[in-house]
Amino acid sequence: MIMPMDLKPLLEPKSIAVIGASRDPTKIGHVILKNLVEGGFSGQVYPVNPSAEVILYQHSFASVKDIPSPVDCAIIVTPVPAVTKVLQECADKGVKSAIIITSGFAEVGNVQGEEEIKRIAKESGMAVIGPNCMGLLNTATRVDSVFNPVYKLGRPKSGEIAFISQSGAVGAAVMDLAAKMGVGVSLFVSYGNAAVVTETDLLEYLRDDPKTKVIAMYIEGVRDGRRFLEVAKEITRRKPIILIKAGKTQAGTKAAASHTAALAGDYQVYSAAFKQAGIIEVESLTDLFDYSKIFLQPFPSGDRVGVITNGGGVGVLTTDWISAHGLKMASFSDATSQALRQKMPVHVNIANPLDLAGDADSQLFKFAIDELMNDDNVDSLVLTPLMQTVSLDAGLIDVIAKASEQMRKPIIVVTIGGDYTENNRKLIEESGVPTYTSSYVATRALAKLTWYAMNHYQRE
Amino acid sequence: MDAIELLAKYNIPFVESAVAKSADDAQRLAESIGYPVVMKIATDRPVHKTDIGAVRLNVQPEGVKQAFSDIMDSAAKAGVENEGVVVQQMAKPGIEVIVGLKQDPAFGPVVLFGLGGIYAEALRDFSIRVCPITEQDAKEMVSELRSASVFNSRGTEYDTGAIVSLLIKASAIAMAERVKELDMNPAIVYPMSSGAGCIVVDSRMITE
Repeated sequence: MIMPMDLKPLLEPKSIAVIGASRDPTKIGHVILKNLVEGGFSGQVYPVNPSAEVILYQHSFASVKDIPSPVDCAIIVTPVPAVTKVLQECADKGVKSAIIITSGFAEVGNVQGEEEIKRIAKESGMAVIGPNCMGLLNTATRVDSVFNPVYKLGRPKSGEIAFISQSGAVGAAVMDLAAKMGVGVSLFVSYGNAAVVTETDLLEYLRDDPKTKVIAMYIEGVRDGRRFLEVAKEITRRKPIILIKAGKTQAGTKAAASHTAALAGDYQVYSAAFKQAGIIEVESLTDLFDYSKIFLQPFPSGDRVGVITNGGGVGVLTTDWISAHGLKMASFSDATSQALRQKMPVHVNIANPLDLAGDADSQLFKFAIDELMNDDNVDSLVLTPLMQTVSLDAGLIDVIAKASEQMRKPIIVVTIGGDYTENNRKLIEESGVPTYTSSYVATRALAKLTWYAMNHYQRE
Repeated sequence: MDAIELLAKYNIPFVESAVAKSADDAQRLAESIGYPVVMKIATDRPVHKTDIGAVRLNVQPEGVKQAFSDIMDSAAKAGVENEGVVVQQMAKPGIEVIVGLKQDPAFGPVVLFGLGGIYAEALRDFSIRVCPITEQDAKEMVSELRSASVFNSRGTEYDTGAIVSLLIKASAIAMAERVKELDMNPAIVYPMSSGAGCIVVDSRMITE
C-alpha cells in the first residue's frame, strides 16, 4: 500500500452503525450498543437489525443502507455468513470504515471469507479492523466496541498511553488492569486478524496522534516485518514503543542447515528487530505497565539519581539497584548540601541516599525534594517513603504530586508495605506519579527511561 | 558462484585456499600456498567436519598425500558427498568468530554475529540485525555480546573495526545476492597491532 490509510473515521468516528445490534442483554450486539449509548459517546449511533424496530430506545434500521445520514464507522457483530454481505452494503452506502468483531475467519481456516473482506475493503477504500477482534476504545470520544460489560471489565480513564493488541483477551484484561491501577489510556485497539488494517498502520496513526505520548503493544507476529521495522524505527525517535511479544518458543524444531539458521530462530530475529527499531521489549504484562507509565515522566538529561528516604535500609537497597541497572548516584552540589545541612536535624547525614530518618514529616520531605529538584547535579529522583512511621503524615501525597506537576525531572516513588501503604501508594499513582512496590522494578524502569532519553530520543 | 567466489567479489579476506581432486594435486597446491597447511573435506553438506575425522591441521610436506587419502576415506565412511579436499593456508591463532546470514520469514535477510567454535551456541551469546545494517548497528552487534570484553582484554585490543567491516559486507551480500544461508565460520580476528584484521577460514553457502 502506497498511501497511508486514513484511520480517522475508524478511530475517531462521529457516527457509528452497530450491525447486528440486539435486544438480548446477553448478546455482544447489545453490550456494544449499550456501551455507546450509555457510555458518553457524543456522536450518532444507529442500531442495524432487520427484526427489531427499537433497541435501547434507539430506532433500529433494517439495513445500513436505510440510514439517512452518512456513517463513519460500522461495528459488525453479525454471524459469520452475513459478515461479507453487510460489509458490501457498507461499501455501497459509502461507510468509511468498519470494525469486524465476528470471529471465524482465517484463524479457523476460513481463508476465503477473509479474502472476501480484503477485496471489499480494497475496492471501497474502507479501513477495516479485524475480523476476530474487540475493536476499539477511544477514551476521549468514548467510542467503545469492547464487548465486555462495564460491570465486569473496567474502562481506564483518559490518558496518554495507547495500547494496541493482537489479542482481544489480553487487550481487554490490560484495559481492566489499567482501570484498576488508575493508569490513563488514550486509545485501545484490538486488531485481531489484521486482514486490512495492520499493527503498522495503527503505529502510523499513533505517531501523529497528539494525545498519545507512549505506545504499548502486545503482538504475536507482524504482517510485514520490514515495513513494521521502518515505521517503528522512525516513531521511537519521537515516541517510545513498549512491546511484549508472545509466541517465543518454537513449536517444532525446524531443520536448520546452517549454524546461523540454527541460532537465529524466529523469536531471536523478532527481538533483534525490536532492538534495531529502538522498541523497548518487555517480558510480562506487569512490565508493560511498569515501563509504560514511567515514560510519561519528563525525560531526564542524565543518569544521576537522587534518592530520598526515611528508612535507611530501603535507601541502601535502592542504591544497590541503581548501580546494578547502570545508573549513577548523584553527588549533591555544595549549595544543596549546605541548604540541607542548615535545615535538617543533626542526626540526618547529608549524603545520597538522603535518609531523613524515622521522625521525618511531609514538610521535611518537601524541603529535600525541592532542593534536589533545583540541583543540576541530580537528573532524576527516587523517593522511597516508609508510610508506616508515626511522624509521616498524608500531606506527603500532596508534596509529591506538586513536585511532580512541575514536570522538570522524573520523580518516581517506591513504597513497600501493607494496606495503609497501598492506599497511599494508589493516591500517589492517581496524582500521575509512577509508583512501584519494589526498588528493583522501579530502578529498572528508570534505567530504561534514562537510556531512552540519553541515547535514543531525538529532542526537537 | 561458490562461497569463496562470493567472498572474493565482496573483498572479504579469506585464507588462501584451493580444492584438490587428487593426492598429487594436493601436494602441488600445498607447495604453492606454503607450509604448514590445513586440509579438510570440500563439501556443502551440513556436517561437523572435525567430528567425522575430515580435517587435518598443521600438515607438513611429507604428510600431504597421506592426509588426502585419510580425509577421503573418512568422508566415504561417513557418506558425505564431496568435491575433493580443500588445501588452505594455516591461519595464525586469534579469536574465532562466526558471521552468518539467513532469510527470516517475517523480516527477510538477517545477519548474525557471535564468538566462533562452541561459544555462540553453548552460551547463547550472539547478536542479530535485520539487513541492511548501518555501521552503528554493526558496532552494537559486537559490543552487545556478553563476552565482548574478550576483544579488549589483558592489554590486547583486537581489530573490531575489521569485524564491523565484515558485518557490513555480509549485509551487502544479503541485500544483493540470492543467498538463502551463509556461514562464515570461523573467521579469525587478530590484534590491532598485527594489522592482520579479520580473515575468514571456512564458509558455507546455501543459495535459493
